[in-house]
Amino acid sequence: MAARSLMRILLVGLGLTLATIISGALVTISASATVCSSWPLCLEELVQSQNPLVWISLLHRLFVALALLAVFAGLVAVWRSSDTAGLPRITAGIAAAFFLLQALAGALLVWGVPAMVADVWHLSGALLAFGAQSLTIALIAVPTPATPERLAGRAAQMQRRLRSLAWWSAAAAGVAALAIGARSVVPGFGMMTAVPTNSVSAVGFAALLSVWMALEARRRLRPVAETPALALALPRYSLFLPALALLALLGAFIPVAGHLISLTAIALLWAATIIAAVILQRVPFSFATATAGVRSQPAWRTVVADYISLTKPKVISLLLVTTLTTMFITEAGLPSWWLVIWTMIGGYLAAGGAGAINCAFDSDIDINMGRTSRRPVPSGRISRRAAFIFGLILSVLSIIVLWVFTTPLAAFFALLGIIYYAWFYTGWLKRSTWQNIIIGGGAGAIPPLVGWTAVTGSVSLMAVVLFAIIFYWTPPHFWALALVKQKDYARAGVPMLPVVAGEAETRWQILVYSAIMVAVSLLPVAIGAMSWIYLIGAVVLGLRFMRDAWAVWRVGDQAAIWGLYKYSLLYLALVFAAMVADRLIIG
Amino acid sequence: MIAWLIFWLAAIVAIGGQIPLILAAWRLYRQPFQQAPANVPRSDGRADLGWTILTALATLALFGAAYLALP
Repeated sequence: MAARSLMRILLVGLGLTLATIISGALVTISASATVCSSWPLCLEELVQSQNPLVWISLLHRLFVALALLAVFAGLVAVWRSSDTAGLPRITAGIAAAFFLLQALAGALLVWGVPAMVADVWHLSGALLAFGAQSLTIALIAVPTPATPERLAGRAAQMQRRLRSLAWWSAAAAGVAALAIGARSVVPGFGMMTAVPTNSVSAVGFAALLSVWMALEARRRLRPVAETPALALALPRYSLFLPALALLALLGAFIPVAGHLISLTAIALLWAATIIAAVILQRVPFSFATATAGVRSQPAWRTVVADYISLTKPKVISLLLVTTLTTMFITEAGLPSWWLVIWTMIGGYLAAGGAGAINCAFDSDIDINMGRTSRRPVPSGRISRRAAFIFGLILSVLSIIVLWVFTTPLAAFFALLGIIYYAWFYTGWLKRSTWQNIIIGGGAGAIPPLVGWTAVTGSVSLMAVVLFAIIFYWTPPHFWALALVKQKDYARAGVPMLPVVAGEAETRWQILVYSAIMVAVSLLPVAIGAMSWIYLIGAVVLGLRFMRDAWAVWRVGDQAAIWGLYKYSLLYLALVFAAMVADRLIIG
Repeated sequence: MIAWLIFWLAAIVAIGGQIPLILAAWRLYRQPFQQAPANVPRSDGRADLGWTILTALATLALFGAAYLALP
């Protein structure tokens, strides 16, 4: 089949699915489903009652029937085309399956099966089919280049960042679409089943990510000779993405018709972000790198960027993930979004303040290490005194924010974390003993206690278990880095375990600490705080961790060590995410 | 039943795992920092051993508390 015909069929299917979603929202708003009680047609009601609402319901069913035909025609066309082997066939199949699911859920509703699951799946199925159709179209319209260009250095880093930003935006738009979908189907039902967010905050998050992606795409993407015309639209029209997100957000505050606006806008945003992500993944661009950007930046922006970098945003992001997820698994139930926002702000200020004080104290070490020598203090852009005062101000602000807007105990733990990291670890442990990472790991394990006490106001056994998981996670994670950077640490005079006891001892202790960490990660199930969903997650993730730790012990080459280091970051985030999933799904 | 099984499995690994850690700390106490460069500070071996034992005791306490909380 000609590529043009195939694309037409797929685009018609996408348009009809969107029409199905919009007409379905109209059915809900007008409550016309109640006047049409037979399936698939309701001719009796049409003849007898002359109620105009019947037409809305029938129009929706007509769109469903046409879209179903188009989706399956698209599936057949994709499978028959010789140019679409691989992923597009799978996504087209997924689209057809979801569309069929939503049609069956619709029939169940009409037949009077009083199942909220069917109600939610009716629209969710259509939205998921819409996402899968968009992905199919993008995969076919933007083929993988025959000889992919390999970028290096900062351009490669920029490419990776934009790609991951695009996929995160698509994921956030998808979650927001499902959350809005749930609310549209069941008015007043603000929380999507198994989706840890309500529709307003989900759309807000999607809006933030899409604004970020749009700005980055405009600033960084530079077309090259081979860039196809479709891909050029990304940097040129990227601002439509946040506009759609804001429209969806606006709709959330307008009664009745707002659902229709939100739903349409978020569905379009989802499709657009999916296509943008595929374009960034496959199309050749050149990238305006950060170095070029810094040179042209005004002085105040450089100063602001330096002060922000003192707070170590990358390190903090993982700490905040553990704080955030902990807030959703306490016995006190789901927290309010204001509490979450204030805890995140307080947590960032506390960790950022401690990080800035660490930068002030550690400048003599940092200057001797390749990884840290370009930080603002060792490179002389910010004085030690200024960094210390900045850290102190952030720390005080964090205590005030947490005390006023959360609980005094959360503020206490934040203060404990600051003192632990900035003075106990930085000022003493790090420079004096190879136990620095083990005992110092306690500082990084405090954020879950902040999150827990911000919600409950007290400490329970589960909170201590969370502390212990991160405590035992820290040595394998940081020793993997220390194994790679041991010459830096030796030059800087830091007694890290690989420097003082050698690689073999470190690799052995990494294995032992990993085993203990995995064992401790099972305790939430034993004490009844988590159930089988978390158990499966913890076991699967833990086995992978042990495989990597085993490779470090037995093989010990750079690939194995970097593998463990990178996976350990993912592991911690996923273990905590598994707890949230368990709590939200099982309760 | 499952909870007990998981608990004892975790306890054996986590508490048993303290033994090689204490042995390692003892080894480093007896033969301190043979490979460390001159500019790297030498820590007090007894304090290092003390930290390791303290961590082991804290872990034991955690499992003790978890045992009491078993369903």
